[in-house]
Amino acid sequence: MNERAHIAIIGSGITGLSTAYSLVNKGFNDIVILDKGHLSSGASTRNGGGIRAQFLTEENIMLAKWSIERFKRLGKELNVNFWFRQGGYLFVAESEEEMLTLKKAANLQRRFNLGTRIIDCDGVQMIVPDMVCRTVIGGSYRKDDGTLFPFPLLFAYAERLRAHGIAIETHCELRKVEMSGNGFELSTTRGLIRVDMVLDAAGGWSRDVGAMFGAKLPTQPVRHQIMASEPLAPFLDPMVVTLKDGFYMSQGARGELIGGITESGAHGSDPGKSSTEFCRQISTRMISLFPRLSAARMMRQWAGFYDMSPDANPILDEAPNVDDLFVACGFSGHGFMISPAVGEFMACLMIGEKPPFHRDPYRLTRFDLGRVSREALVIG
Amino acid sequence: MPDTSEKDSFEITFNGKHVRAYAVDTIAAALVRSGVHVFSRSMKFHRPRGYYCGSGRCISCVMRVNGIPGVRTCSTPAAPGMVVSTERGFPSSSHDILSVFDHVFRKEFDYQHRFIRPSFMTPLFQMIIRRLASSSRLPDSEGLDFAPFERRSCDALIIGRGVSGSVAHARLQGAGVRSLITVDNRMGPENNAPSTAFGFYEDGEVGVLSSNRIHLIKAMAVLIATGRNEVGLPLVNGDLPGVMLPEAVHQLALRRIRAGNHAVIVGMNDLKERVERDLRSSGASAVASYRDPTSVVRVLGRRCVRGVEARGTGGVTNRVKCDLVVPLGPLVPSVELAQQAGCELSVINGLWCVKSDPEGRTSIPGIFASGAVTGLVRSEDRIASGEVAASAIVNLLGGS
Amino acid sequence: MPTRKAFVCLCEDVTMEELRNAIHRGFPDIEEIKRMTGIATGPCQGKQCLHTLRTLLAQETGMKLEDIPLTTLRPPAVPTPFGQWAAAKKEDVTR
Repeated sequence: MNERAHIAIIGSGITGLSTAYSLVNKGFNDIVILDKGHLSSGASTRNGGGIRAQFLTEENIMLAKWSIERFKRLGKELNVNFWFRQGGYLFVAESEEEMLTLKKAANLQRRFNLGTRIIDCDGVQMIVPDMVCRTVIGGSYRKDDGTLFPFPLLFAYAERLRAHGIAIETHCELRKVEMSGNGFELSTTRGLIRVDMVLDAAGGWSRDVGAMFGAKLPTQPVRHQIMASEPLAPFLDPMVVTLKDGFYMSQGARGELIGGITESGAHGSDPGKSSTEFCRQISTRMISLFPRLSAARMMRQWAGFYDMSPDANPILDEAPNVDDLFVACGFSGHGFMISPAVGEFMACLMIGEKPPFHRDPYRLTRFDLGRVSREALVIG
Repeated sequence: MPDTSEKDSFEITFNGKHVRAYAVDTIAAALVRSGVHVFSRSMKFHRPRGYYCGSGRCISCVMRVNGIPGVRTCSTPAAPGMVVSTERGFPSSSHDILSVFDHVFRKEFDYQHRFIRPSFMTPLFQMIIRRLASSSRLPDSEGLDFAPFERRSCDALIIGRGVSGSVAHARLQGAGVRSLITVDNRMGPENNAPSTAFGFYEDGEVGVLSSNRIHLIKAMAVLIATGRNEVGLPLVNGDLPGVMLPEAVHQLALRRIRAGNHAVIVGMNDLKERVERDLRSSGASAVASYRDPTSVVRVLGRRCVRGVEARGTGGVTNRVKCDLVVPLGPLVPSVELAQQAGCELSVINGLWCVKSDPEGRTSIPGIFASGAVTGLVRSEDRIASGEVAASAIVNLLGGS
Repeated sequence: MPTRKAFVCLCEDVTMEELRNAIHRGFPDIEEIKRMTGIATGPCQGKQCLHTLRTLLAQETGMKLEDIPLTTLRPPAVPTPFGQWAAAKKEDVTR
């Protein structure tokens, strides 16, 4: 491992890789990426691949919209197929209150020309013919939202970065940080490295990493479970989301159903473990909506972290009390889908270029100043 | 195994045709007996696949049964009137025009680096690939007759009733352990209701699946006696119908079904003797045996095994006619459940095994392990480990 | 005649060739190989392929077989029908 680099990025997930890619495109490649596990071993390789712009805050809508446009071109740029399928996202409301939330969100999204449609129960039934809509009042649907397969994109980023001479040091855990001159001396399990600037993109571990630098981040990693079924012939075009319980389900390219649910009741915190309650809750919901799935089978369940911020909007900032420490965290379960925009934003911050969005909504200090708008459309 | 006499026979339909089956049959056994070779087509290349592992650990024998997709026919008893059909292949599994993919993609199909250009075709490519990837149509009916899942507690739970598990079971019963549950996933004459342990969950519950029910069992002591899993060898065209693992050959032989007429055995493991016995008892002959798998250049055949091409002494290749290839690969300890439970594993002779102390205790209190899953090979050692673990469990439970 | 392919993963149709390519693209970690090729992510969840994969990794990277881990094995070890999880009622029976 090199002993010296200009920039260290802690975390080789989509945020770190996307930022490194933007930096490289701006001519900066004296970068080292550190990850305590294998490549993208955190949430980036554990999520359901959902890509949407249907959010309830401007902060998220802007990042997502920019990112979706970018995703459409990224495959050719990186010479990779990550199976980005714009099959739509269908949010389903089962109460008047939920319907109001969707209408409010759709109104906001319309200001950004997202083309989100508010539909009634019949409209929902048309989009998902196999779903039982007895409890459904209506929904919101945006056809340009969709799903992708995370792995190819992550590997393509890694290969491209390595081709530019960037070292991605996996199985390399940060243990201690010391201020050293104008930069930092990072003590890792694979040796020491001196850097001038650091990006904390450590996902569920951002808070712990930040603490090593003396930065206090108000984020909290929360375990979310997810499961995949055995492959089935394609019958589900959009990602279906029910607001009542955060249930989501989509069908992957191989025909497997991938889904999660916001667990009710107490739940555990170890992403390496699985619970029976999750299985029971998600199966119950799946079958109430799709009774024919009764004989379909769960193939595997796993889990990962949502790095939750207090308002469920990301924190994209330079640490106020630690010079040259940048943080990109608090993605609250939607980091992958906004990663192209986040990467560009953070790269600009780090090299002193004007970022593509205003900084204020993403600042760490917004919590103290009370300038927050809560993102309500957090699912899974 | 009971006689397959006419009065025990009935009919099932396979792809619309009537097939005779007997009370002792699994669906797969009935199909093999009636001469079916191609059971399914593979995911990417639509290669023909047949009855392969015989123990529910692969998907080569998977078919649609009574409107339910993805049924492992090797582990499902045949029943009168069953409607069985193959899932993938157009117009049929046995003659599939989509096997052209096998020829278009000659070496591999790396889905990450294909169909990137032209980008305007992307939605079309995606639609086509999605349609081709899986043919398992949604189950026909809803609300099937599943009994609600059941939570149970017991003193001791034994997972596996093989060499060490059955010894431990007998010992615990003999010691008067009152609530003892033993899970046995093998289909066989002594076990007409196999059940399979499938998960260790964080609340300490062990999930067990039986034909109609999920049980969640909390036990004071759990013994993992899950044994070993036979795996194949990556022979060129070693995925053809007619390549069968020892357990598959055995399950057929138990039912007096010949897995093939002329067999070639490749590789070497503890099961070789039983394979040879099974072949003899079913009237098949072993025409060749290659201890070193690298001497088999490839398996020959179009829709099923017709022979092998092998390198003899002096490096000369020759072709040997056969209709059955039995690969003897490594016997790999079934550590899935132990790993889920968080038990420490260690490598013995290159294979990951459950680490246990001389009393059978694993690194997790209350969880024991015995037999082949701990890396033991000789039967006397496996038997002894079952005894020892059972004694330790009796002590843990406070004796009787 | 089928084309000459040697399969390591039957569920996902992953060949030796594809695995060697993936390893030599710079991803010799077993968890990375799994995510890159799909090996061990199909319905058998690695039962048929993991040992062969470990052996291949040892051969291609020069690492010792004992230093190559298994991938994380998760429940359910055999596929479980959703209908069996969606209990109408739960019974608690203690013996």
